[in-house]
Amino acid sequence: MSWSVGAGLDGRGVIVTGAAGGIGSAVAKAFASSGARVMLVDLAAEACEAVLASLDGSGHAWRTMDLADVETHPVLVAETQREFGDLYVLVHLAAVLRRRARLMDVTEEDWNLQVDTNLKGTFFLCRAVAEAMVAQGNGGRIITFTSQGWWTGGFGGSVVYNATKGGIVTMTRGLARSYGPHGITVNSIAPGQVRTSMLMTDLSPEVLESMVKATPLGRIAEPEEIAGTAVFLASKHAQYITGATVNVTGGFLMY
Amino acid sequence: MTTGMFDLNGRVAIVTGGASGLGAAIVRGLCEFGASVAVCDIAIDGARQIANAMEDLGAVAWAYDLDIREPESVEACVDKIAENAGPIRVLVNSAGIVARRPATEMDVRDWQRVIDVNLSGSWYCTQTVGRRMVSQRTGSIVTIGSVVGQVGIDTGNVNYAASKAGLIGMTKCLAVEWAAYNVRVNLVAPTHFRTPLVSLAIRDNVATEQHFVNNIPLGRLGEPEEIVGAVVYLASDAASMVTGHVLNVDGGHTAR
Repeated sequence: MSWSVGAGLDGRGVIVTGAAGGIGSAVAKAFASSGARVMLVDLAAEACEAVLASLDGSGHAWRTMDLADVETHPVLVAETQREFGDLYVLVHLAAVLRRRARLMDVTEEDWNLQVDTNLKGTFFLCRAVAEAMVAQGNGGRIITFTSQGWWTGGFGGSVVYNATKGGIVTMTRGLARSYGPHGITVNSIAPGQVRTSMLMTDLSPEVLESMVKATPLGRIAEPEEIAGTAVFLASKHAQYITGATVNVTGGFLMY
Repeated sequence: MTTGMFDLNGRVAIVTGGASGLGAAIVRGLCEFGASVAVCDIAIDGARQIANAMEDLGAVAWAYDLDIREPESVEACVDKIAENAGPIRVLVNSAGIVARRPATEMDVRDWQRVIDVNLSGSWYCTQTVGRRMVSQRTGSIVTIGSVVGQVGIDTGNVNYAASKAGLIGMTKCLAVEWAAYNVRVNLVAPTHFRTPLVSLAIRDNVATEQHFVNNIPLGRLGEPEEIVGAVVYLASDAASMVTGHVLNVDGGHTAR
């Protein structure tokens, strides 16, 4: 086993969804600097282009897609294979949070939007990617994103979002069992509070302080601190880890 | 940038049980990522062999004779390591034993022997090194637990299961207690790996290899090298926001 870090990622094809976001862009950068070729996927085209320009190495690509539409999935798989000649890793971050202060404010449309994007989208995308990996015959790595809320359940209107994140943990285990015999590992990352524009927008100093107080390590995470875990799980060094959910929460979650 | 996140260059690490099995593989992995490693084991000849092999590869490693069941020996050994090598940044609690016996027949000695090494011994090392890490305001402790500490999988192993479950409690408690000092505490839980302990069980007909493999979706035992990545990751800055975590390296065993 080669012990150069990012082992096994040199020149490999990696899809990162939600790539324009705070965590997604840090993940894309970390994979690019590990030698991989990255397919950035996001709804936001301009932001995707900006992330692309910031990546180390060359041969990266981007697409705008709404992954809640399952018909985009085979297209994404085929175009990634055509661009890179290889699809080895999927890091699936794309998700929507429809925050509602109160439970009673949640609409059926809120439910459908979050369940379709986060839960249905994850299942069908992971399956499409895994089937392509099975056909390639060289194994692969799938990394889903859950949230610390999968365990706590959240509160108020974020219960729906967190229920989808719980489903992702369960699904990760089931996919790991199903695709293990093909050498495909499936794992999930549970970030806690991370310094992204999504979190920091309209965040009062009091709320930030309460988050920090609830975190044993006494601070919120930087996006790069999530990216390291994703690169580790995709590397050869993690080849025997599957079905796991890694808590990157500064000790907020321990179970 | 990414390489830097996993880099252990210039950091001093202690690995207990470093002379064989998973411990020996972990020593090699830490060295390959740049750490200087104190190989501690009750089997000092084996520890010397591993340390010499690391030196031959151009790494920095030393062998220390250590019986982790003796708190005073642990303190003396850790003092000596710090004196010779400098601040200790990483501790890997890897020393462990098994003593299999059906629960109805297990005598006090079988119980005590396993608890003394696996749980109490790891605690002595963790407390001793942890004190230094707390005062230096940095450090990462990685304890090798087991899936056996979480799920009931084979019989005749109640002492081992209890010791490994105890380590999970220790890990979480210390993760909270020492977080304010930037000392991270995590646990790596392997399923059955191709190690002397598992080979012994197969040799003694406790179970066949197929019995072990049947529990594992990836369809094979782990190889010792496959635990290393998880330890390096948790020891390094790549896991700077990870504490109190139980990382299963189990080929999907606990997802079952």
